[in-house]
Amino acid sequence: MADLNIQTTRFQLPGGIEPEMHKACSTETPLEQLDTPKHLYFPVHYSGGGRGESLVHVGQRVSRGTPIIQTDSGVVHCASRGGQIVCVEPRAVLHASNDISDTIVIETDERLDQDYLEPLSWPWTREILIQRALDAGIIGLGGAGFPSHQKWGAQHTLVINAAECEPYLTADDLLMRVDAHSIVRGACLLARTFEIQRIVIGIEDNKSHALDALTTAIQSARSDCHFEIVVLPTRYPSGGERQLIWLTLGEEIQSGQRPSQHGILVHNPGTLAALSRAVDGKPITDRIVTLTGDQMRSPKNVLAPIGTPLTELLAAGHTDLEHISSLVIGGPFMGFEVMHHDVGMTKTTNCVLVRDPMPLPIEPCIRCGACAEACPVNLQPQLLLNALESQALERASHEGLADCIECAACNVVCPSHIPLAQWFRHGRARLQADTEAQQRADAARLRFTSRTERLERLAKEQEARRTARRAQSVDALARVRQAREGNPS
Amino acid sequence: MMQRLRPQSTSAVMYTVLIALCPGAVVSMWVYGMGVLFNMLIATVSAWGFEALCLRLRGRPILPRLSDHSALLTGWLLALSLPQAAPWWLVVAGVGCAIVLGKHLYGGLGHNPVNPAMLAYALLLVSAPVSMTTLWVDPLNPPEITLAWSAFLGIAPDGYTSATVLDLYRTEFIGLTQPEMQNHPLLAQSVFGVAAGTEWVALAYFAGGLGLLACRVITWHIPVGFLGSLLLLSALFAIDPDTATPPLTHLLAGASLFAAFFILTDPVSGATSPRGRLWFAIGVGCLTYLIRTFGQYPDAIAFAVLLMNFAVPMIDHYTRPRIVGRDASVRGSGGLS
Amino acid sequence: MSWLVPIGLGMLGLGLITGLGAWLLDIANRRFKTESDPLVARIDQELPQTQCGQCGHPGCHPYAEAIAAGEAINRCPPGGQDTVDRLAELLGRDTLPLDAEPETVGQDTVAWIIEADCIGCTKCIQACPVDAIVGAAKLMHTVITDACTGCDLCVAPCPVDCIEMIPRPVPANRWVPPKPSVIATDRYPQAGLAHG
Repeated sequence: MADLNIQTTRFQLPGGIEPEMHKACSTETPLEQLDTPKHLYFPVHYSGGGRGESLVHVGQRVSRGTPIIQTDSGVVHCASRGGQIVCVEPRAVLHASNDISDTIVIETDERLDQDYLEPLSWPWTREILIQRALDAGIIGLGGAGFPSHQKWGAQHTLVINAAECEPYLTADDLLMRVDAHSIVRGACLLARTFEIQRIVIGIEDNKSHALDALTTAIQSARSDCHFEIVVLPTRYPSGGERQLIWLTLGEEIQSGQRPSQHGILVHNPGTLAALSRAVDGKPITDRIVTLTGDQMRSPKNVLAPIGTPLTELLAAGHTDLEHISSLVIGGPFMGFEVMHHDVGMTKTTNCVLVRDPMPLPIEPCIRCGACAEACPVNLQPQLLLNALESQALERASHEGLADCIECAACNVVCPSHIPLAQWFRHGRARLQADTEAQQRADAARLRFTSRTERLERLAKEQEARRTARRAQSVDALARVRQAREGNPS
Repeated sequence: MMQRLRPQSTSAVMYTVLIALCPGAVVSMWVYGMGVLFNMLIATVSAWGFEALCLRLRGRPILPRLSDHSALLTGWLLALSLPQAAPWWLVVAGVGCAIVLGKHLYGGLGHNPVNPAMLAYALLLVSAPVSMTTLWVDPLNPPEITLAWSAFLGIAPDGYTSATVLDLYRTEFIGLTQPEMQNHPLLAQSVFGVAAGTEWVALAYFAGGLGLLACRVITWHIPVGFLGSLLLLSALFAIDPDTATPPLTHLLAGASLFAAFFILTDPVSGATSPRGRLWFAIGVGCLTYLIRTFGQYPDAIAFAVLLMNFAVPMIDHYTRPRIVGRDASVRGSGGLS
Repeated sequence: MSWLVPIGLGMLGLGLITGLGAWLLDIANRRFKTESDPLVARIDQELPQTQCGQCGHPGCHPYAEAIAAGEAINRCPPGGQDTVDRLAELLGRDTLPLDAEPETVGQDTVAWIIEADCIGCTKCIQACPVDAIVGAAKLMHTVITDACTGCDLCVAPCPVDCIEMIPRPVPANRWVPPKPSVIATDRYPQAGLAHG
């Protein structure tokens, strides 16, 4: 039986907001398993884990669990259901950029064959678990889709991010209610493999059912791990990585550093549950998606195969495209609006939010400072906005643009309805692109200089050799002449 | 759920401030007569007129900007700052200065570097000094409505105006001892020993200001910083009651409470972080004390506010809070993580 | 004329004091002058380091030297108009319109070797100004995409035309979201909300 300690956080978030949460509507109905859709879509590049390469060819028959995409981070994505690869064609992807990517299209069939991995049995090494995470396609299921194995290393604390602080989202809540055992098991085996001493779960106080389920699961777990549950007040954005670390551990991660550099590992509960299943040989093939929003006729959570088209998800919520005004993937603050609807969901699709966004007229900034009050990292969004509007990226960077977590709390409180977060997302991406371009230019300068130097050196050496050879031959000639003159025959 | 109380749009913010001004305006009318109402009416009309004209000239949409109530607020603030017996042309010229020179020449709402109402007040004070200093209504002898109307038209006979209390301390009270000062009718009939009538106006503005605090339109930093520094300085130098203006007079006479809650709290031209607002207000408080004590003007707040407005970029620069994850001393470009 | 004497003396004194002060300031300025980066390095810093030679010089640094010596600042197509403007700012010269065909400006491309067609002649390796192509004689060559500047100097020497210029591959997380469409001034009202 695992050891458990429950407490309320002693720390307070700077800033933050308390919006209406709209969570109850999608948690009233039980989790529903979605029927296998006719077609599944797997974008080669945007499935998470970096740029990818297709491992299959058109006409091939795949089973549930067959590897189909190899990404450059090493993560392998698997088919979520069995069927025929009907084509690999460029299609829109489920990403804020609404970009186009080569997409593998699987036409599913009735056969329920599985192509799973061998279950692992303890003891295993770190390398084996990392390889298993790669093969099972494990990426962060919280939203960012960062390959999980890249965070693992010398850590002492595992923080489980069960805050789910954004309004409308209940996917993690449902997962904890129905499968707390897998989460706890995943945390335990990760802790055992990487010798993590401390497991801390941060959960907001509006998820009492999930909290109960977790408590039961921890108390019945056959493990000697020590768990701590820290209950957080419901305040957005307490589930931001740095914000959660502050609220649970009281530790502040320095700007520009990652929590893993401080020995802290942060995982979404879904990722740990997926890891637990991966050890049993099952790659990620399904995930829980919240179907919600004022225009969703029957809001609920469904367990859907990865690659399910959005239209099928809407149909599961008894809603069709004609009756919605906007479709957002993710929450209302951090999510992005999609333009194409015949797109497959990915591993990071946690919510389909359909509602009338009701845009309000944008007015000039009156520097009221409401945004600064709401900012969880103490930025001055009004000064940042001023810098970005006047194209002064350097000044924005000086104001701390790099420290913005893009939580959009400022958007919500702005009385002038200025889309501040969109400005900051744009500015941060520009800053990143500019920095990278500068780094590339510096590298190119170095390579050019060293090549020029090398060519000069080679030319000089060649010249020296030629001179030496010439001198040698002149020498030899002289000696021959001397010999001739010395003894005339 | 504190956010629910906060006004959700710019026009709602302005609207709240307008409503919060009402108690002070009503008590003003009661104390100083109907001249205040006439001033506010002509200020309202001319504020709308000048704003619409400027928007038209600048090729901007008129109705949405007009309905954000910012021009109206500027007009009201100026009308309530002017002498109660001011003629109509003074108010119209002032509102014109505020809207045209103070706001639209800099790019409209959100872009003005100084408080438009105070800019107009200062301009009027230097260009029409006689009207601005002699037309203050005697609160003990407020004019009838007909007299107020002829004052508004600029054709009133003398006799109902008087020096303000702050003027008394600078001029008539020099050389008097404190008991002698108390014999002045303005002080003798006063409840707080400040100035009959005036103090009630100030307290009405204070009530309105508390309302703004409750609605979270403003924070405590500016009123506390301004009133605190003003009181502290006047208390420090009030050791000799025969020469110095008492602290309570600084507080309740003149425009101190009005300015603390309604003028200094203009977010556009003021400092923007809480700490910055505190310093901004302390600066205005100190300058107000200095100008009231050593200057020759009826009140000092306009110049103090304007001077501190110019210091706002510097205050903003030095008072930003520590960004989470950074040392207090270190700012500037860090890489993205 | 005696009134001229004090004025003359005064002017003389003023001249002396001003002259002396200016001379001292000048000396101090020279004495404590802070050494800034040499001009060529600062110009080079502004150039995009493509090393493509479109300016007529064999690389960015040689062009930077030429600019410092007085050459026109508008000959760098990869840098685009931005670079011209920044150079004008740096050098205190008037800015010029970029001297380039519009279609050559601002393209971020990299070289791509069609490996099936490569015969291993090493000509592209010799042409690459930044050593971004690896390979050996009679063996297949390939481009180190991260190091490639997209100068396209390797395309012409290839005897079998197996090098293509392709857009630089951008990972999904490097996408730059657009600026908000409505700028927060009173300049652009949102349609339909004018009376809201």
